Amino acid sequence: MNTDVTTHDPTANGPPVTPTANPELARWYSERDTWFAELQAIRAAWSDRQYPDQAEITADWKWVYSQINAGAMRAHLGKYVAVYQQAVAGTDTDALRLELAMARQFPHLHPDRFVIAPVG
Amino acid sequence: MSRIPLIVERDPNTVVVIARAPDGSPVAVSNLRIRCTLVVGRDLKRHLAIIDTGAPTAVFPYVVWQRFPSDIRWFPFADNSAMKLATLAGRSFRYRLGSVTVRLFGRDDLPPLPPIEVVAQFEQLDPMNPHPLEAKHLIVGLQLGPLEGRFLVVGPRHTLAERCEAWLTDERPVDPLVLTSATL
Repeated sequence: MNTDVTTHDPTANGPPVTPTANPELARWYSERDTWFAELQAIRAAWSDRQYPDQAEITADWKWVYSQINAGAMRAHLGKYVAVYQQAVAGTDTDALRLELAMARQFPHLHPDRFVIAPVG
Repeated sequence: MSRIPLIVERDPNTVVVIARAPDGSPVAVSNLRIRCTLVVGRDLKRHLAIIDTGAPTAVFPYVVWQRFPSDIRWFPFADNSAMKLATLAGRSFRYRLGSVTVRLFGRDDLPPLPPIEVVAQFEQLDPMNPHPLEAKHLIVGLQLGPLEGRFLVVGPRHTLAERCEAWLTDERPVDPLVLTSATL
């Protein structure tokens, strides 16, 4: 592995480009930045000790792929599904928007408890 | 770790080719994907990734890595270029190289692989790119990551009628016909 690194320098080779040339793309990023900030604020209200159980999350990962492989997710082709306790809790074409929707809809659950999986 | 089972995705709704072999038997080619979940750095969230032996390294879409920017160690390019261009799933994207610590989880409720430093392409904001990567484009590639030095086994059969399994293992599989090695 290459060990010639600059540690923790986000400006290595210069700062990232800001998407200003394409208004549509700028809006795309701006929307996601807003959604992401809201999600982070929701997450910040939870402590690490309240973090969801990884075994429960694994069980939902197993379930969603058993459903996909059985052809049972046909209705959600092209979308992301949010899974909680082996049931589809929501769908959207955008993963981040779906995460946020789940966090808003189920404020008693940690936002990372939902398994978000693409179908198709 | 001796071996860790991976997530196999083979949605019968996404069969790409159905044909008939010379002996008359049906042949169906499905969108078979091998997946895992992983956590990055100090973060605890499990991200879904595709194991892609056609990808030179891991790829982190912007919408994924914005969650852990302070965990990335950036690698300046030797030619002083600001960004490089790559293609994934038909989409071009600009990236910078860096590394993060990753723990890879398999399909079952087993402990994850030990933490490993993964060198990856991190998608950058690009004012000219109308199709940024999505969360589902998180890739675990062939080199400089958890596949290196391990064997990726897919088998025993790929037909739709039979269950397909995949796993990542430290041990050389007995049957070389089902071997796809990340190190070959």
